Amino acid sequence: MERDEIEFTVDVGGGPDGSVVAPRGELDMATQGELRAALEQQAARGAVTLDLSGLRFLDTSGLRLVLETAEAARRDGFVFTVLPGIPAVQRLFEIAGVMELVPFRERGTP
Amino acid sequence: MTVLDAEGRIVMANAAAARLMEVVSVEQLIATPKTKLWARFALYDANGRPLGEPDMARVRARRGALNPPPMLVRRIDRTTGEQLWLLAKCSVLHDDGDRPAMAMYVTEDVTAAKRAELGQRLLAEAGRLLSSPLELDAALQRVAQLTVPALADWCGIELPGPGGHLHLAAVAHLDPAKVAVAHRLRARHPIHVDDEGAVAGVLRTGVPMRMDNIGPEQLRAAAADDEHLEMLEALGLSALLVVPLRSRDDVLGVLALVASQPHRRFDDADQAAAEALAQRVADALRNARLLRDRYEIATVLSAGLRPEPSPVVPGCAVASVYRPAGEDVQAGGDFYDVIDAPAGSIVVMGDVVGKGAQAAALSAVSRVTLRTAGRLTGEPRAALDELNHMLRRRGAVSLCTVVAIALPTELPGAAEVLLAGHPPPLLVRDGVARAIGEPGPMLGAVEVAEWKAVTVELAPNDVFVLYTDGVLDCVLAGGERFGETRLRRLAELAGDDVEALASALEGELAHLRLRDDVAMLAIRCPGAPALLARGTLDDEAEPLLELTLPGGPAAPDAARRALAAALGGRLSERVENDALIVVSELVTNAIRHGGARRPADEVAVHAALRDGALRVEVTDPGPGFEPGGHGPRSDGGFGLHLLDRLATRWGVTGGKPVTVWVELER
Repeated sequence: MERDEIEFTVDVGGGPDGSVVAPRGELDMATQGELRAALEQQAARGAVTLDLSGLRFLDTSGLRLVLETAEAARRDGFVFTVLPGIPAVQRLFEIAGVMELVPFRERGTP
Repeated sequence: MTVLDAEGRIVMANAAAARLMEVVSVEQLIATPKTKLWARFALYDANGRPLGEPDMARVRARRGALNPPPMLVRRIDRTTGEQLWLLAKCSVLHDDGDRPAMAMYVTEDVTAAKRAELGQRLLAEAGRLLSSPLELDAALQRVAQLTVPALADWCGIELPGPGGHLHLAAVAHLDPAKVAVAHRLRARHPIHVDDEGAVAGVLRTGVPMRMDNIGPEQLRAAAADDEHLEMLEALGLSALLVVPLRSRDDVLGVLALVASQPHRRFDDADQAAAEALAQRVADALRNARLLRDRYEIATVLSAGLRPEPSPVVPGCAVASVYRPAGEDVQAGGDFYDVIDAPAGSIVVMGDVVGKGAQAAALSAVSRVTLRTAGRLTGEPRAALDELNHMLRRRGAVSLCTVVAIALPTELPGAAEVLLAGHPPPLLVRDGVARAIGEPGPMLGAVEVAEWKAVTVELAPNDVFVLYTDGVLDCVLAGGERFGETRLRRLAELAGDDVEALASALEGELAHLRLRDDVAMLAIRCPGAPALLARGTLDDEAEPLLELTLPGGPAAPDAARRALAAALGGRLSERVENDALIVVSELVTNAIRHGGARRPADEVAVHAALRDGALRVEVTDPGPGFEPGGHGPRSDGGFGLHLLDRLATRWGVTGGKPVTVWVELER
């Protein structure tokens, strides 16, 4: 694996239902802060989609961020949607048993 | 039978007619003016609407028709309050000029038949409603509506409510607009169960009550003020019949029937019908309560009282069997738990005396008590003391048996076993099972007691089997008890394969009749370190990685890169991905909670392969490891939970520094 070549970045773009936040690279304790800031900023505008497809790796630091954002969406009333990532990323959600807590939406569905 | 001429005078009548009109003879019937005759009675149609002069005029007008339809009239004697159902049939006789000359009335007293029919229909309808999937409140409301006007002019169903006040659960009135008045009346003038009135009285005593001839004076006496009186008058109140909703020895509420037609009174037949109806309602209420209790128990239990199928004992493999004896209850009186204590884990299993819902509730309280005391003190004996104390303080006799095993953080090590009236756990080593522990008194039985701890030095792969009486008391096909010997044999056959033991026991239970709740928990100590012992390779292991990283947030990423490079695609993509999650998790944990926040605090990462199994070890300076719970080392249990799911085996060694090791098989 060419792990060394991937720098962590967070892209923020527009989508039909508000902003799309797309992290790239590996999400762990070192990088989750950057993504958290981007999500919070966009959530304040009422709707945010988190696109996980650019992630190579995710551990519980990242998992926790996703769950906390889902919780904040319920509490604060913004719309939060997650587009699933590669199987290695999805596996963590499955193993942790939290699939139902994350508002996953397949790409291309409304 | 009466025959009337064209002017409406009675020209002919028989004795039955005289009796029906309550005059002494046919002669008197004919002699008495019609208006005076009828003035004695109040007349109502089948729907309870009063038949006034216009209605009577319409009845007379029908005489012009050849075959007027029979008419059902409810007649109430204004003096006696007696109520009769009369079916009036009329035939018109014509003169030569084809003009109506005379009308022959055949009036039949159908009271008995009508009452029986109403009563039966009422009961059948009520039974159907109350057993329907309607919400209970809706069903009660429909039942109240059924009684009007068949039995009464208005009807209320009263249940004890919050604060000792009666709750008007359902109300129906002949005039639907008056329902709101009834509710308003109750809101303004609530009735307390200790109040003097009829409704509260029947609720307290369970004895039916009938009150007739309620006139303006009585109403005024009962009213608190003018507005109250106005509402009472609006509702109409001339007779009252209150019957208890009685289920076994309990009075669950009352059914109050009110007649608003003046002079109406309730008689024995009305009371019998009301009581039969009240019985239906009471049965439905009782069933609904039972159902609700069960539902609540099931909900609460599924939300947390039912023990976890695989509780985490760090480093150990755990398997369980849990079968409450009650088919419709999710949990029973048996429980088990693994408590995180400062010096390790305390494994407890208990069995409260009793079955069903109450046992489940006591079991929950016992479990919480043990958990709290165990967590705070770390002492199984103190936990038993506390539970004993709690059970003694409860009013009813509350008994519970418990086995508690204290396991050290570093396993295998010395374990302590305490028994409080519970069957001794089995320790299975090298395929041989023996019972461990010294019998001590059951909890809740004595005020002060001593539970003697038996210490046992554990060896790698030792298996503890905890179980409740219910396992031994299962009945085999031939009527024989399952017994300890069979359990021991199953445990020995399974050896150190705890899953196999659980499946074998499940298999046995599937054919057996359960007499009691059944719980079994099998815990296997970690094996001898397979590859590395605290960073030291054994000869057959192939070292992959020996790395020391500076502490800080960049460490997890560095560890992942190093491990991925060292593996170089030798394991399946899935195992490699799991290994990367594991190492990331362990290093993150070391930084967050293991005191490796600064670069100077180093984290050591070791990895090796043997027989295709990968072992990863992460060592940090560590203030200590607190597994499972919400201590400073855990991510609310999240990271550990994940480790447990990903790892084939895992464990913790050392106190300071601390090493967490994880093995993954491909």
